[in-house]
Amino acid sequence: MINSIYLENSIREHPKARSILSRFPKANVLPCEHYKEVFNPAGQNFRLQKKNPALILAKQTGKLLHSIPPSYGVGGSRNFYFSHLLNCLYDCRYCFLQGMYPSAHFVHFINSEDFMSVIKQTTEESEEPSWFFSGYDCDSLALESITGFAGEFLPFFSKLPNAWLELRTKSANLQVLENQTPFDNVVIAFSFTPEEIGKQTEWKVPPLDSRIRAMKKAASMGWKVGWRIDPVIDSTDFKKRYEELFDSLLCNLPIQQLHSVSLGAFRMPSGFFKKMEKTYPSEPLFAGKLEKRAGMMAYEKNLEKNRLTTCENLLLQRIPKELLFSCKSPVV
Amino acid sequence: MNLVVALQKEANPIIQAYGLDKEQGCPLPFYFKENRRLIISGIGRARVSAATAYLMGRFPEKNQPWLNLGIAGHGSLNTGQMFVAGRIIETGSSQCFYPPQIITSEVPVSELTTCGKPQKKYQPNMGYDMEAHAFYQTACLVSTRELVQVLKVVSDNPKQPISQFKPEQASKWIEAKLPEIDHWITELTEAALSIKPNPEINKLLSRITQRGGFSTTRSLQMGSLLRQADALGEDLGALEGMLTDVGSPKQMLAEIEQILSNKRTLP
Repeated sequence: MINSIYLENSIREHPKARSILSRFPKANVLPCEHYKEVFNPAGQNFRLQKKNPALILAKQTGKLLHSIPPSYGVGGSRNFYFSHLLNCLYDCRYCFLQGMYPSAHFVHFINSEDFMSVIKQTTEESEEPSWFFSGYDCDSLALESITGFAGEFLPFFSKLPNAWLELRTKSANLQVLENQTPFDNVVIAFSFTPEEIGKQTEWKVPPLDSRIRAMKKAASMGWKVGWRIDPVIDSTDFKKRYEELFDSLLCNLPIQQLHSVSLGAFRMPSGFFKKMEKTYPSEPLFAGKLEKRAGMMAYEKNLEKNRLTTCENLLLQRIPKELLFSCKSPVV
Repeated sequence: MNLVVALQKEANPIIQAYGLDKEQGCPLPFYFKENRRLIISGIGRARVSAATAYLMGRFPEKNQPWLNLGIAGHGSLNTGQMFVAGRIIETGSSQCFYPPQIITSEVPVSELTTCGKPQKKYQPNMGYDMEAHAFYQTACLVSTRELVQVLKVVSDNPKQPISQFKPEQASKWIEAKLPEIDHWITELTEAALSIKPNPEINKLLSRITQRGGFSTTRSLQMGSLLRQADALGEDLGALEGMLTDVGSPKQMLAEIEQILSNKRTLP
């Protein structure tokens, strides 16, 4: 799966780097001074690289924690995201990463000790619970076999009761959760789209039914579970498809085990969209009923409102109001 | 596919294998057949830059595959072994290139240093040539980095230093690697095709805008609509037919928008 690995010179002897390298004895390993030398140059093609992405092992020396956009939280008032990994194993056509990053290579920051240190420090700064979202620039669990991220961070968060961790994923492989005793301050947040839409837009993603089974299993183990209905994608039979999805989710999860549901429309900065459109010129999704508003590409205003309201109403017929969170787009 | 090779002896097996014909009257030896082109640059960064730029000028289409092929020294690999450059540095330069490796292949990936003169000292796991850095720098001006690659066959190493190298061996080594070289040429060509926009869109755009009255903005709008029509599975020929009797550019844009409006929702 990984044929090429780039390794920052400064972490050549880092035990985690050595451990990862030992798992890929056949990979070609190349040195680099800084991951940005490989990742950032202009003139790369995300689509071509996605066929065979390399792994870059690096140390994050920049900012380790970032504030999340206002209204993207799920109940907390202190919200941050952090990225142990840039890019995703999956290939969802609606994903903003393909417009944001110049490269499809996976960048794995191995200095988890630095992330943990800043998370601990930030948590201790306030008596208010702090939320840490790990799946903004990647899927939290899809590359667990390489990164060992959750295996490392779950025990850490288990000893930090005033800090919440969201693991956001489309993975159906939750072995790492089986190896850990569940605890309260973690939410396993599964992203879902209706099956018919997923088949048109989500490549390399496990089938919906296996992800629903994974969600059910996580809940049965005692983990708190979240649904992330974001982005909402317009399609024919929209209401019916989302209704079926929500019913199917609810059938497989007792409501008391649902921590939160978040809902967000398809939207992204127009610069990202332009790049994605150029990368995939034949993608029907990008020829949808979209418009540019305040520097963002999103569905036409009325359509967006209609689709979000439809989903919101469908959800509120099934879940308590306090569990539903709307990721309000900055689009006006 | 554009092949840039320093020496005639390195190029001969490729020319024969693909049955390339020599074009007379070119400033540099140039061979071609259909969409395969090979130019012999001569040794060194200035010559390879000039040869690459010459091909770029003659065949300006963007995102074509480019391959620099030849012999090189290496600190660890055996003579006759082929490698692909995964990191290209140049003596005296801080600029470093990492050609993204998208082709699945058994060919090892190695670092490569481009030098001003043949190297007599070898570092482990390092290749040495005299062109790759300049070639990569130049070809990447017109092609995405994944489609620009450097393949080298090892001609000398610490056990068999360059003083023992006989130029006629170059042809034999390249010839022995023809199946692997062909795999790379095929794969790069397919990769380039996979990202090539539908050429019919620009042809249609050109025909439509030639009717006159199109401002720059309207031309851009028309190009965008035609791309969307193609993405939505609209038959471009039929679309052109529907526009036959439509008058102004504004009306044409409105007409296409109308045709597409019912198809913009994902099925």
